[in-house]
Amino acid sequence: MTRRLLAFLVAVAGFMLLGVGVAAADNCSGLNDCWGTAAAAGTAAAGAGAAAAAAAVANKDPKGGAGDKTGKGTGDAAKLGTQIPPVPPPKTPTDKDGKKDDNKKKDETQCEVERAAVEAAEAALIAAQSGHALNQAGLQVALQQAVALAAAAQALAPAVIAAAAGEDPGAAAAAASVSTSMGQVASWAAAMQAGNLELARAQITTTRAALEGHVAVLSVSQVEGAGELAEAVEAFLESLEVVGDSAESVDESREELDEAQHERDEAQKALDDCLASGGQAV
Amino acid sequence: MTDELPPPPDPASRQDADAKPGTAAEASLDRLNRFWYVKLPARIDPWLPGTADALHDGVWTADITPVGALLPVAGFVVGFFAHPVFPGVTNVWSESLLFILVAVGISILSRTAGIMLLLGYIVGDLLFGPDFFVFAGTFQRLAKVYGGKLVSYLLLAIPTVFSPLMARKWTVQLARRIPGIDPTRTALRAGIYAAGCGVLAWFWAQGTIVLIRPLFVWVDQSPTVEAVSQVQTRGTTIILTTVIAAIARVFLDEFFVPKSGSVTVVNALRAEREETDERQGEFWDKVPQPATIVGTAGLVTLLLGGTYTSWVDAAIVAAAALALGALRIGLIPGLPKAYRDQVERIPSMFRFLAAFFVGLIVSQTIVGQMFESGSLRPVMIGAIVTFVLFYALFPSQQRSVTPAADSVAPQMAPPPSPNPAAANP
Repeated sequence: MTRRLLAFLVAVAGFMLLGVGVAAADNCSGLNDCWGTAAAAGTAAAGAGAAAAAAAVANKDPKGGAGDKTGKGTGDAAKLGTQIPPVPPPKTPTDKDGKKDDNKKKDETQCEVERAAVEAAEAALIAAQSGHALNQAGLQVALQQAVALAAAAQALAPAVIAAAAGEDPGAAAAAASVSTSMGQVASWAAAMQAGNLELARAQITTTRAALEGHVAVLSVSQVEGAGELAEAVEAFLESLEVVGDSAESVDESREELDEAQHERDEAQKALDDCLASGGQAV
Repeated sequence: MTDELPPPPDPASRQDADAKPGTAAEASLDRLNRFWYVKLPARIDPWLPGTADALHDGVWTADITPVGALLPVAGFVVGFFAHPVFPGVTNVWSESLLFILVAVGISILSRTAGIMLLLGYIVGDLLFGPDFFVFAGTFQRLAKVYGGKLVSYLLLAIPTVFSPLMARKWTVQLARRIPGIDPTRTALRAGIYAAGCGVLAWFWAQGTIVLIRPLFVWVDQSPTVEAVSQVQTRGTTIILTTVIAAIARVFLDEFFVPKSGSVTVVNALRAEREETDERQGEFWDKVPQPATIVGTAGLVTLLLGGTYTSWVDAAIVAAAALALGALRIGLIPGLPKAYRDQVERIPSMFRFLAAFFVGLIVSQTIVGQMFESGSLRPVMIGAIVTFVLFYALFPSQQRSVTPAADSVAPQMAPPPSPNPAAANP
């Protein structure tokens, strides 16, 4: 014990005896008195903000906190010195310390609820992942159908344009516009497949508004093929409804997935806290 | 002494230990150990759970007879006699480099001793310091005298109470995130802990230059050269001391505690502490959140008092602190959940450094633009910008989600998980 005490005292004395001295500095009545340069003053300003934050932000609520489902609080860490407790070693038959074994058993029992919560959260996460994957697959199918219908409508447009030339300029213009719009479908479908749902939604809205006007023109036109083109465009518009619904489902399932992920993380933290505070040797 | 307290946590065994002390001196030391590391924390638990845990911090010294029992006493004595004993301490602790070094060193080795040193300093300062128990004068005068003293106490509390805790949280969090390295390795922990303590000491030294001013200017005096010069020009010595103390703490902790022959006292006290912390936070948790926001805003407004040039500055800081506090606990809608989730995945130490260094650049720019004016207002603006950055990078709600708790959580190697990648996001 004497040797340990000596080692301790040497360590304490070692840092206490480090260079003790006083260097001159001007007093701190004003900005120019306190610091010689703006950089030094700026550093002090940031230091002041950090000090205030250290006192107010980063050390708030010493007990309890993120995912503290154990109810024991996370202030337990403050009891743990600087050591990071290792994973408890498995109980061995040669362990003669009966009380210690009892403690371990008790700790494991205490953490069973947390461990069960982690398992339940992981099951929920897997379910959410599956649901999200299904919704994404549904969106892919809806997009493929929309792209195919767009291609079919686009194929009908040149004949209508040719037939309507000089006979029904309105129908010709509508068919041309339909052809252009349908030509863009593949690009925004690709954007949507890449996950850029917002951009794709905006383009769907624009396309739908334009096409609905053209359908009205084409459906009353006497030009040959105009009626078929109007029907093809209507079929495409219906497929857009399906795409919109599918995209919404994907959004929802993504939120559910994020939530499940968060829940799982929280449960894991609670389990870590419980295990860490469960009488680990420090 | 190590034979006096058997392995925990059997109460019957503990009673035996109490009943059979070897000598009266050893029995007294046992009682002192239990007072510092079990009974005192248990008393404080319902009110200030964090402080209670901090008081238990020095328990690792309990095996080093008689250090465990007497170090907190020594801490109190050092603080209490700071004015009459330490050379240079005339107005405030920051006038003595030796006192600063002792305070930060002792606090890192044992926060129990650090808290007692702070307490001793407060009592000693009221008895031996300037304005000895001033009760005469207007309320405004008394508020200025004791307000300035309170600021100096808060500043001393940062390295003695807050910084070691924060550095330790960083250590347990960061050590587990370094891939391929055993997080329990002593050298790794010592390195991170020393780096954390050193960085925090530097921040604190820089801030103290300006934050100590209220003690003087609020009573119409100019800060003494000594009060500022120690932290301003001897920062390297302070940081070096902090780093050495931090490394020493980790290695001493490692050296003493795992020894199976001498671990019994520490383990017994720890087990007893576990048994007596049932009331932890009983009253603290009942404090309404708006009250904590107001309290924190008041603390920040007071602490940044050294940067003010008029009451307008104080009002701005108070308003900002109130708004940020309300934002943080969700009283007013603010940062989206997705942002909070993402930012909290970043280790606290990195976030802390990022907030400081971005604040540093902004502060230096602001101060550089207004340096010739001589006014301290740009310093206040820089400080508040830095403060806002901290809130932005520590956005969690106060009681449901806190950065502190976030930092604390990963203390152990993760248990077996069916999805290892998910277990360590």
